[in-house]
Amino acid sequence: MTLNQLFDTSRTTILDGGMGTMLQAAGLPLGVRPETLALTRPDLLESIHRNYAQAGARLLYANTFGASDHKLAGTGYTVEQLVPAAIACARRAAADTGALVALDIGPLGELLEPAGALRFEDAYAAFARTVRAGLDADVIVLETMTDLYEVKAALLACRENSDKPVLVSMTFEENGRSFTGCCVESFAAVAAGLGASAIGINCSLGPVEILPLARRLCECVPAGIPVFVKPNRGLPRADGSGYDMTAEQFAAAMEPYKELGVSMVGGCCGTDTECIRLLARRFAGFVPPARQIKPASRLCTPVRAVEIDGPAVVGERLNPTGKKRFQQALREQDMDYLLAQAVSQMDAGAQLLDVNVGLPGVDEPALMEMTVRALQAVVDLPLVLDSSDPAALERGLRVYNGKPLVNSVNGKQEVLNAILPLCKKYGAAVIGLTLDEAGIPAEAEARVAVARRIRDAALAAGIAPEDIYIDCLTLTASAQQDHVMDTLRAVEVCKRELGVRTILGVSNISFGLPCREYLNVSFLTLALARGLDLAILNPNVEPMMGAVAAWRVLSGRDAGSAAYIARYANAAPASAAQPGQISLEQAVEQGLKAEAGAAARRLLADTDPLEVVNAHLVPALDRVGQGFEKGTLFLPQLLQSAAAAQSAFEQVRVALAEQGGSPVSRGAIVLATVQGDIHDIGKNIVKVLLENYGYQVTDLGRDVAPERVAEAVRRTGAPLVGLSALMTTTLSSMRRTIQLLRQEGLPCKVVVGGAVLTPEYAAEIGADFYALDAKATADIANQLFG
Amino acid sequence: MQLSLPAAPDYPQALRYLGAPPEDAASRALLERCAAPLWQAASPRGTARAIPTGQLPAELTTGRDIRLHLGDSAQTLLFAATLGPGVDALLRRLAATDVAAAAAADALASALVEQVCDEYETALRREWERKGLYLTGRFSPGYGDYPLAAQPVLCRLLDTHRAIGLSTAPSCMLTPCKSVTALLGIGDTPRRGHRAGCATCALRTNCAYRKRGTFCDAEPTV
Repeated sequence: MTLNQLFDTSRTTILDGGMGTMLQAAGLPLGVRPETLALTRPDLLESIHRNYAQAGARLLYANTFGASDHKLAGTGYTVEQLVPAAIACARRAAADTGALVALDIGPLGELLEPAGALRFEDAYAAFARTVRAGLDADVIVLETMTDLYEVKAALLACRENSDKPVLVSMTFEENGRSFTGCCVESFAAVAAGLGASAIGINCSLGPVEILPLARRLCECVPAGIPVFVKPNRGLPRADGSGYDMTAEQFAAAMEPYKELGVSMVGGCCGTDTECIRLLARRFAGFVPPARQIKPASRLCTPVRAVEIDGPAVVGERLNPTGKKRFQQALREQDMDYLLAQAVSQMDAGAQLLDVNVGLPGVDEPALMEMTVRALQAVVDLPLVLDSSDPAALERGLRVYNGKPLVNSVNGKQEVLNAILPLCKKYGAAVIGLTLDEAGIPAEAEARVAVARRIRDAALAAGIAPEDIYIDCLTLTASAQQDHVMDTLRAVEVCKRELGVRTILGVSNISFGLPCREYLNVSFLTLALARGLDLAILNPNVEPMMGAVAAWRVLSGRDAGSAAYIARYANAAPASAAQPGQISLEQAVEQGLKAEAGAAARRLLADTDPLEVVNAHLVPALDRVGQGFEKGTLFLPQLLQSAAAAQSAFEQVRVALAEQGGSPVSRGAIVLATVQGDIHDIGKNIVKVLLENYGYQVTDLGRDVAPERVAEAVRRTGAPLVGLSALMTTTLSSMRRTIQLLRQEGLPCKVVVGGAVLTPEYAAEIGADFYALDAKATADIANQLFG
Repeated sequence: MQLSLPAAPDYPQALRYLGAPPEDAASRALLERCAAPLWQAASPRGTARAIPTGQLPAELTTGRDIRLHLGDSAQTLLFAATLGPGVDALLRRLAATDVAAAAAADALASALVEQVCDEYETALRREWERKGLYLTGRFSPGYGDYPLAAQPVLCRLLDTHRAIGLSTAPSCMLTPCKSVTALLGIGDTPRRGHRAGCATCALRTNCAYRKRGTFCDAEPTV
């Protein structure tokens, strides 16, 4: 068999069956790592492979599923010893039949960030090592994956360390999602975008249960990429003792796959040579029909695949332009501020979020990466990575978990050359702005001409037509009134004649005019009628969202007005939403968030921001703190008060940023949950309390290496560092962090806390303070800073 | 396998985890707000497998307490259950937006994983009793002197990553966070096993329960 034959979608290739099943049948003892058999029982592996080849399998998966440095730790063997030996076993077995041999790679067995502690880069490095050790194979198979982020790390490792074609299969539950929540459509979009040569489903379920999922996969994998399945031998018995399906039943259950256009079939857990023999007989000479592909433009995160098939809203608020508070947050690397903005846009109904972190004086590439990581840990909307700096885009694209949209290229050749290859490599869709070296053409026809050039360049770079978006650029009505209609005409022509999708930043239309909302809503409505696909706007402005929702009703896309009714059936008139007029102190003490924010805004109208903090906020917090200490109120109330104070504080920050004053700060404090530990609820509570008291907290997050703590202390000059650890196994990281701070001679005090700590242990590891709870930490800070 | 969600939240337990008294209405209201999103986010799964006790790898029988717990049980049931990564994602989102709700949801999720384990254990117990065999209670790494280092070994033997999406980080912590692993002894006579009690507990010197004169466990054996 040749590689061309393997990937030929007009023939059926038989894959092999389960390896673990055969090893168990051969009496593999409990606890033995199957990968070590490549050196201890090569004869056994070779005979299993040979049996599969003789049964009809034309691609043999070498016994390297768990041959990664993570999984081999403690076995006494290295990746470099086992991988070539395992491939050699399969190679010898393939000699008679000419079957191809795959380097087989399974998951690393640890959960990646943000759910787990394994970093994307470390996963990449582990996969790269296995890939480099397996260059003797004909192809690489990534299989039984449950985490799309791990698929991305592995695919990048394959593509950057080998020139072999890569087959990728994930494993799904009956609900069509993997354990980590990834859906079939997101898998297809990301795997295809990252250059997989074949895309499939294996394990977890039997042929019957996988069938509907395979149908969905066949509909969304781009044409030309083969789809494959390797189901288990049905569902296992409840007691785990094996499978009831006979080999004949298994092969018969594979029959319906013929009509889907699947071009490679095999088996996973429980399947044996008999299953494969019967499968090969059933599929002998079968020519699969063309798949029924539903072409669509999809942008995605693992859990959410957004199909752009009507107008969708891109939230515009993650952008520092003209927003002093946002600029301040970027300079301070205050990710919490960005996350709050992101969540509020998501709650308001945005389907995508634009992310722009460009600001003079910041390291935009580093900030883009940090922001993408922070956002994707908390919101599951696909992101639009917005930058003109190719380095910033690449940093964001590399760590992004899903298929993003890049904002943007334009008609300048230099820009097209720099950014389109990045979009292709990382599987992103792209926005082209209709401007070039000569600026923005005024006339619609000239803008369409630029769009055409961009589209052709994108197609030439290998980007699919459905992944090309054109922004015809909204010119302001106040300055270029004559050309407002040109923008709308250009949208219509681009859509009709170029076969691309369109996007517009809507709010720019009203710049410089009063009552901007009237103009924005009207312009948006006109653009929607011309076929606009993506509207970049502020989703927290309800009339804009209402215009989109209304258009979906009027254009017949919202069948039965169901979505519109769901959104507005219980909507109260806007004027009734005013919170009651209670004082800031009452709002904080009663833990009322919205009221606290409103009360702070009222106070700030005629009170100095620092006065608001010192005369109103802090005394209220002190009273709550005293109640907590006396046991008259409890942690939940303390936290609700803290959250209310936080929302009041946010108003103070906005006021100060607008005045151009320096931010409130009683002093700088660095907080971290130590390396190896991802339990951070306690640290988060401490942070909120400290911020309430006006400290400027640099929160390094969880699983933080000692070096990062030292770097942050050096950068901020913080006199106090707070470290938390929950587990006995991570206390040693706490000790190492303190040691490093002392070694580097950094003049900071260290306060430590966490469930397993004791005052004695805190003293032993060299901490200056032990804090029993969050309130105690705030007391220590108040003492230290005076 | 997929496990079902309990019909109602265990508010008293969650209140205890939060450090609030059972009658505190404000805390209870906060917890009630978190229940629906938590139930939505949770996707509980469990897996279990019996192994002859004599064949357990040495890492799984390290320490006095686990050996006392298993006693003369001829077999040992390895047990794991998780609420899934959706709960972690919910907790991350709440942590970024509402720290009070985050703490409450965390407590409610801890109570939920215990409820799920209890129901799963009950089902397994019933199954074994049909074969005339009896189970002890659950004993988890980290109890008493039973080291957390048992965690990765247990997960590997159960193949939890593949079976239920549960894995261990190098620090031995379980991911997703709201997960439980345990060992249960299996024998042909009814058995209770051994509870770790306070004597060998790592938290003995600063335990909040002990300071109040109570215990973290309903039936302590000191």
